[in-house]
Amino acid sequence: MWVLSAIHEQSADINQGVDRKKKEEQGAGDQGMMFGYATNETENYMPLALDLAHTLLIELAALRRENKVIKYLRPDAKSQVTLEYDDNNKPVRIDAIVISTQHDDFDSEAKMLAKIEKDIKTILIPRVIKKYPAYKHFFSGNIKFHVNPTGKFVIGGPHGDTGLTGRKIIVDTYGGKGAHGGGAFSGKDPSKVDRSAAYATRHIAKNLVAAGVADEVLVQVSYAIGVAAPMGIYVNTNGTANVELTDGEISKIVAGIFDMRPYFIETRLKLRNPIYSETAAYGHMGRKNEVVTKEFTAPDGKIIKKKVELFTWEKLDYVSKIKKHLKLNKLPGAKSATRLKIHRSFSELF
Amino acid sequence: MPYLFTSESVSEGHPDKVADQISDALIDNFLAFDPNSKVACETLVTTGQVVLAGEVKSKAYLDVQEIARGIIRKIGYTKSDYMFEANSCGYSLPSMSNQQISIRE
Repeated sequence: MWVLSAIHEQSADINQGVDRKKKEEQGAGDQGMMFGYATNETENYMPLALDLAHTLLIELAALRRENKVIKYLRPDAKSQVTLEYDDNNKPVRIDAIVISTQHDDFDSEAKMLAKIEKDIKTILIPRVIKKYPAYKHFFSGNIKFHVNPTGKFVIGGPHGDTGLTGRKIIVDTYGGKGAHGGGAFSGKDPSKVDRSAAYATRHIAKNLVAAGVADEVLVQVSYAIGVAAPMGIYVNTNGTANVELTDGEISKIVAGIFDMRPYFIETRLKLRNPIYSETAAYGHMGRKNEVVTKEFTAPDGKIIKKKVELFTWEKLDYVSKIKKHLKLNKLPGAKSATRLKIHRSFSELF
Repeated sequence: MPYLFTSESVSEGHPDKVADQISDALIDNFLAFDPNSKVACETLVTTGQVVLAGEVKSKAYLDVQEIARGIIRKIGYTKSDYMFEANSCGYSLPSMSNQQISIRE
């Protein structure tokens, strides 16, 4: 394998728009709009279908690495989950699961496919069910399974298909729920608002849902290149708000709580740290916030250790602040089934 | 009326995700050795090859080839019959081997 590298210095013309003498006024690295989304469908405030699709592959990779119960797995795999929703927009059952996994050439094609399908259903699926105690009943119904539907999948990975950075932006975010501004995350340092503002809007959306403001929240923010202040910030509750406030009113309050200038996002979410390898597979959102120590090796062999906090945008550290600003202390919280309407006019809040 | 909604995911071994992970490993290494690094780095992976392209402004000095190999090894492409694996040098270009980046402010 060879590595061809054509990495060069950044354009000074573009750079001058982003670097500012006063760091607080650091301009956005580019124009664009970014979205953040959260729903109370799962404990980590992620859409259930995507969460299941990720978990299937996380467990499949764990089985591959354990190399005990299933011994023929290779690294390349895809999953897809179809959920049925009722009229109240609540998921009620799993309709279909598609799994394609690369594997060793260990038998005749028919025998390999039969073995893989059996192992997926009897080994992988039970491991996934264990991770979803609240949705256990979703797996008991008549699920349509499609395991390696194209047949043999021995040739895979970068030999089968060429891979490029930034081609899986929906897998990286909300699985088609909410919205996407189009900008990819991987390979960008946090001065790029494509990345930092997408994390910041997820942070806002998750804290709003956790505070009980709405069952589902989509936040949009937009920038102009070289300009620090965002062009606009918009909160869409998609008719699920539990407060007597319009989306416009909630947006204004949110803009007052969260400073969305690039420097303040970087600082608030501690983004100028080596925290990105962990985001690059199985989703950038809905992941576990934790402090870890990472090691990096310099070309001269010197090893440095960095203690960093991962997935800071998943922290529920603004829930009380949001409740205070929205005067929502009597709200039942996101997980309660009763939808309490708080009668409070917008003007009362200021 | 009930309706159906579908989402998909890909594993760490999917080619597009291999590229994402190499790009983000470079970001992490730049930030670890110089927190003020400005980086935009795209990766292409195909049979036996990794191609990197992008812009960097950093005081860090990295062995990008070894970082890319480390990620591919960690993902699990470690056997030659995968036709894309971490250690094989079957396709290496001598002039490109051990290429390192040294772009300073």
